[in-house]
Amino acid sequence: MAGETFSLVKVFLGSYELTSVSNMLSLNHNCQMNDDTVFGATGMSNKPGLPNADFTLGGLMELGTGSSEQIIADNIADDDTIISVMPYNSGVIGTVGYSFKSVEGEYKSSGKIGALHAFTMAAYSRGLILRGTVMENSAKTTTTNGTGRQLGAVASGQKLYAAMHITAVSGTNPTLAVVVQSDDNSGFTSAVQRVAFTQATGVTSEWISYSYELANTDDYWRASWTIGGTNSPSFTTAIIFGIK
Amino acid sequence: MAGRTFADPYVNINSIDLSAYVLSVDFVEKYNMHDNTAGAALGTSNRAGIQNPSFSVTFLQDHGTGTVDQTIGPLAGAAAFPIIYKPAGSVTAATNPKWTGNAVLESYPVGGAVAQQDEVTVSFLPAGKWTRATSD
Repeated sequence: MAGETFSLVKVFLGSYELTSVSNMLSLNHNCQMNDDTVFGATGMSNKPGLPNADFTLGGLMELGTGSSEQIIADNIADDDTIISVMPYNSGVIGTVGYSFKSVEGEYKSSGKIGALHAFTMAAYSRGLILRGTVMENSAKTTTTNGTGRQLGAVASGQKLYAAMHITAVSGTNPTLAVVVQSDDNSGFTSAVQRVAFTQATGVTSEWISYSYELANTDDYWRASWTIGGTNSPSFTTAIIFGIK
Repeated sequence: MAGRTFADPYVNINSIDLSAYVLSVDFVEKYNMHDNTAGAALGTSNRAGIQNPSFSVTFLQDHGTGTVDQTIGPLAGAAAFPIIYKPAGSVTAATNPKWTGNAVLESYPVGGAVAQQDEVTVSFLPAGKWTRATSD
């Protein structure tokens, strides 16, 4: 029987995962439409302009250090907070993921005596909206290569964009260095590093891109990482790649 | 399991603690958004302008001395007054952040349906920036 229940969703705001406190989200991936109807046309015509997104998240209010309340209040009005949404199957790698840089414009705290204390927040895009692929979504504890995926080659005028959220870190002096590699085969027998995230030593989020190069026709992509530190270093990491 | 019951908000209007009369609260910290999309942009871009919060409370109406009607009624159209809101009681803490700011009141509704509980919902507009603190 067709249809899915909207439940196995993951949502990230900067270096925080808000999945466990959220119960509603709306991500409108829009595009300005400009009327380009001219004389002689037999029907109205529209031409796409620039894309934009508006995002609303609702959930259960928690109070205290590191709570949903503090996270949302602290991020309001900050430029370029990275928001990522994995709307299907808890963001299993290979599923669709959306990412964009945003500015959080509204935070609402609502309560009725005896009912659950609720929050909603609204954020607006700053630049392109990436519909991409979940490449990684788990704790990283060892130096290794991630799963490669055939995302296609970066064509002229395009970039590969990568969004990363590190939401939990443990260990002594832990470090995580994640790079983006490409190859022309699924075995990555001749992998080439194309771009790298800043080495992480704690929770963080970052948005990077790799620009088209004439000589690069690789269509397989993966994340690869190096872990440092002692006492079982671990980084809970979510990464989305997309070409646009 | 996430979440908390909204049970004991602290609401102080013009230096009068009206917490005992609160039925519900909607507090919105909001910033005006400005489109700063410029040349070569790959998508529309927005920038936060100034803060523009709103605070709406539904009270059990009470006409007793120093209570809801006597506190809020005179504030309609009056000069700005202070508001303090804490979602979890009167003691400010990281687990109970305090929002403070000055506000004005555009209207104060009086009315209801016969035999229904007398309640009043008031919406306060900002008169300056509101701030959040985790200690007094």
